[in-house]
Amino acid sequence: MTVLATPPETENLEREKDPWWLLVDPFLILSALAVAAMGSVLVYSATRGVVDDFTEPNNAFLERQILFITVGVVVATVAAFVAPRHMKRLYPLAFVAMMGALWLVLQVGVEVSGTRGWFSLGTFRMQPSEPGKLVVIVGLALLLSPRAGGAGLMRMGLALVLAAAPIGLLMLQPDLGTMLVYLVVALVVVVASGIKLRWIALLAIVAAAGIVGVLRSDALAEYQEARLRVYLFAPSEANDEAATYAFNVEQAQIAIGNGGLQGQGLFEGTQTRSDLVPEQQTDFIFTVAGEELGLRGASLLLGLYAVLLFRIWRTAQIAATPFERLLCTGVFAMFLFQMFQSVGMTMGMMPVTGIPLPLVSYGGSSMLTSMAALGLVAGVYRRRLDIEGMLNQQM
Amino acid sequence: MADNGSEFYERQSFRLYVVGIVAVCLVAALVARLWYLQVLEHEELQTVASANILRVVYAEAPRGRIFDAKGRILVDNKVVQVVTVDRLAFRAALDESEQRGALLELAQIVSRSGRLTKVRHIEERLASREYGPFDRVPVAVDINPDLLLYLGERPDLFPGVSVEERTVRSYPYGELAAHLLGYVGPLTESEYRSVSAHSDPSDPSAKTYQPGDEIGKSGVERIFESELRGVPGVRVFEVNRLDEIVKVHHDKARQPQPGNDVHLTVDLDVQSLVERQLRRGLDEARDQPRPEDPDAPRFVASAGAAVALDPRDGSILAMASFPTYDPREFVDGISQRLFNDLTAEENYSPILNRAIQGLYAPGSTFKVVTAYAALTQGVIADTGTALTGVDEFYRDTGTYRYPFCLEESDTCVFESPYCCERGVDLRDAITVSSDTYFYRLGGEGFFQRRSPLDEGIQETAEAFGLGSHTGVPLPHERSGVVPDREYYDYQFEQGVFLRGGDQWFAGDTINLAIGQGNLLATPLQMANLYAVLASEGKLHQPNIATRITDRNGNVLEEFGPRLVRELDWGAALSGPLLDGLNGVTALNLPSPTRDEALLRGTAYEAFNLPGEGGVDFPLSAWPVAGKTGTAEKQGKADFAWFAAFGPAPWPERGFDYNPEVVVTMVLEEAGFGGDVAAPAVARILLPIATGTVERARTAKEVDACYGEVKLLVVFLEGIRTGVIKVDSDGVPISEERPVLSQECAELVGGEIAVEQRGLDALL
Repeated sequence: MTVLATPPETENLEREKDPWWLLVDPFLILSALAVAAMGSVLVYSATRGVVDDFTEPNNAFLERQILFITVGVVVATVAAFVAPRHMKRLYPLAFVAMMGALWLVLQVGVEVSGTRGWFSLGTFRMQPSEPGKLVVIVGLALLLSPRAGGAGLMRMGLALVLAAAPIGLLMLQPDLGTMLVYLVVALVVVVASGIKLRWIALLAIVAAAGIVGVLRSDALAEYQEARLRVYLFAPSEANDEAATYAFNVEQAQIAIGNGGLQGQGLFEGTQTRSDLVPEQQTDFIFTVAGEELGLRGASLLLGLYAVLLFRIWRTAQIAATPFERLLCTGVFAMFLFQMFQSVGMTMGMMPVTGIPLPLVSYGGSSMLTSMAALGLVAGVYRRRLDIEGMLNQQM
Repeated sequence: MADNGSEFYERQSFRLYVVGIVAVCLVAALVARLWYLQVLEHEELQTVASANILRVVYAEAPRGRIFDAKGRILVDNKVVQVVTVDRLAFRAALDESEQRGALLELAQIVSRSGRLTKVRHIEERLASREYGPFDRVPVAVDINPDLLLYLGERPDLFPGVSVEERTVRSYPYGELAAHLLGYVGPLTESEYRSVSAHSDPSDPSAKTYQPGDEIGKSGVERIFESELRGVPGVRVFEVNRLDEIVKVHHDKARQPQPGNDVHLTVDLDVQSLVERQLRRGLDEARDQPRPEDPDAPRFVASAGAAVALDPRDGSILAMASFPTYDPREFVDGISQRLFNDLTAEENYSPILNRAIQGLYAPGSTFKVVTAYAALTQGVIADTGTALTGVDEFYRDTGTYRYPFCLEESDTCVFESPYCCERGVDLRDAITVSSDTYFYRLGGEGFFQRRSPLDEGIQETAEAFGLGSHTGVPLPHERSGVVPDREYYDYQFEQGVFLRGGDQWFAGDTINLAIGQGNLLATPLQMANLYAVLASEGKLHQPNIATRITDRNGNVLEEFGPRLVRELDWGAALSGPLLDGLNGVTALNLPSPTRDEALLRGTAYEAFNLPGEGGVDFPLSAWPVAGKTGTAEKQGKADFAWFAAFGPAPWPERGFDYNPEVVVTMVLEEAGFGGDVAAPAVARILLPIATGTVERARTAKEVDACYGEVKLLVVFLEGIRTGVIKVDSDGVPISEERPVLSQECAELVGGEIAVEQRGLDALL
């Protein structure tokens, strides 16, 4: 409010340069690094393999994860210095690149557990739908922050189209989890943009119809339906494939329950060590925390996450411009939903979908995307006192 | 616009708060669920988690060994290679004709490797109900180790067939004491449930069982199961989803602890002697000339039992039951057919331990109880209202007529089929086994008295241990029956008898007085009863074991004599009884008051006349007090009894020995006790009395000499039947006489023994 009340005649004003410590949010940075560090340890525990007198631990995953974090910090730093006007200027290019990549991956991508969503680049694999999240968030934020007043029906419609386009391509992979992220992020940003309640109501109706349509159609792959059935109904009603997923969900919960208050100790989780939980270094990474670190360690992880989320939310609150606020809100929604989905599914609260736990799960695409997102948030924080940005917005 | 913008800003800010609150709720939900799983459900899920990944492999510990009184190993363990078949896997992989082909080939392979195995035998094993559906059924035991490689390489040809090492029971003395020792076999389902309910799995020293483990099924193996069973070894592995071992938990591993050893009171040499003589007694009973009466039942003599006890402490020295079985048959698991054979009544149920499970009417061996009852309860006394005096003579005409009969009828007349005119007092009545004397005691003596005195015989019989378990530590002991009014009532209610207790007639007491009627006792009960007479009135619970030791010989538990009660044994009581019993085996001193016919007791021939099937027993150095019994059984030849102890005290002759051994023997459908049972018992007592009990032979020794002895027996048979010609000096012409090796000659006791006893010389 105060920011907005400041008269826009500052071009010639002599402003003192703000001290650096006002420009960075230490809590955001520290909580993000702490979560990433904890994540590395958990990834290591999940991937080191059986270590005995004859076998060396497998360090490959840990080394790569540390590499991803390092690159991610660089990416975040760069992202923090990208000015909103550049984002706006470059946006069409980014959007086209995203759509192109999502289309291309359908043609030349590699398939992992039934989803064709990865480019194979030598020893690395790249998942274009991960950075795509950021493209969608920025696009939504741009669309839904008009110079004056709230977005109308028109902009909302455009925003939905913007989100629906990549979702459509994701449906072809098919990648239910990432689709959901896109969808949730879009809804949260639309709601948070301040559009009138009646448009939201309309949106809700459309969304409900859309969900019913998707479920009725053959758009969902068989395995995705199976996962949903396990979640929604008793496992016995499901077929064999569903039984496998029920087994996975059960083993994940056993792992977490096995941890108890104290945890089994790092590297001592029997469920973890025995490969009983699937995809443990990626989607089910939280089970490692639950089993080996116990309620205390898992709560610490969730606590650090809470700090991180709060700092993103707080940055949204104090953002200099509506665009930046929506940008932060989008990142907030992405982190919140991914965390809730990824952690919740290991505890049987959510259906199983292949969504990584940001900053924790093993994987370069996810790590770099998360880091870049936090870099964008850090940029918003840095510019919160910058009148220039506001001017840019209003020009 | 500014207003508009402000309102818009407010709304945006509010929406952000809403998003924040939703976030707080979601995080709170995660924490709540985390708390639920990790605190409330922790214990349950932890149990699931350890079951998930821990694989416990049990190794059965070696069972304890069983020793005889002289420290010889009766039952040991050995490690053998066993071919097993997983029936489910085998039947799932092959159709019926393929199964047969595979089994045929398997039988050939096993046979070629040196262990003769018939395909029928394997099929019987596979059909046996002794094994559960998941058990690996052993089809060939103790095979050549080379087969391990051969069969192990051909799972395609023999699905479900594997070779494993197992520790099995070994019996160095073969069939010896089979009934007493019992056998082991895989746990049945109900046994598994029972033992699982009684064991605490959290106790690391618990003797836990896994399905398929061995458990004692009968005899010593069963009764001392908790001692003989070892503590199974445990190895704990952590496995992954594919059941691959990811970690060995050395801290949770446990070495198997062998079971404790049981030391028996049984003397193998005596056991071997008793078994031999029981068998020979039955053989001789069968060889008796047929009774003149063509309708008389044959002497089947196919079953019997014998017990030898030390009367001083109730230790069982030997216990034999015939027919017997080879416990080695059980070692590799028994086929259903063989098991059926062993339990079949037409085979005289070889599995039955007749010494404790056979119920027999004791016949005349019971007369000492009637006599004891009469003496202690005033039926026989020299004063007062007694029926008769100790030395008072009764004219035994072979027929007793009960004088208080309401009407004249045959039911009041009791015949003694084998008698003569003679006058008998109490001693003589025992010595010559006068039925009428005891009929009179029963009818005029006991039945005429007022209740409950009229059941004085039953009361005394029960005091001597009849009608209840002796308490020998062996499973499945039967208690026998001492019939009285109460018993009649009970049987009447059960619908077994046609009469209730108020219908107890004089005839019931009269028959009871000579050990007939519904009186039933086991050979062990009778041995224990005679042990009372031999130990001045002490009734013990018989002992089978002296002590339990651990593998290193440290004594864990010792078993002393277990005295049940002491019966009156004054000189006035013991004098006539011991005189009467000693007279059974010995020639009574001539006395002017006695008939000449009374000089010979019923077992006189057995102990004095070697020429007539008896032995020349040194009775003056080692007197034997005994009693013959000839129990009648409807439609069958008589059951022959003999009960004896020695060296017996004999007040009349001034002998004051302390008896060391009691022997009882019963031969089913074998004739007179004095004719068949007494000689067999005499042949048991003679080596004991003279200290010449032969050493028991191990199965190995017998096997080694079987061929040689058989050759000699065939040769001798050839000479006897004239197939082999001999010259005038008796030297064979057509064939050379086989010569026993020195070891075998020693084993059988020289060629003379073979000439006399044939193949039995080996046993």
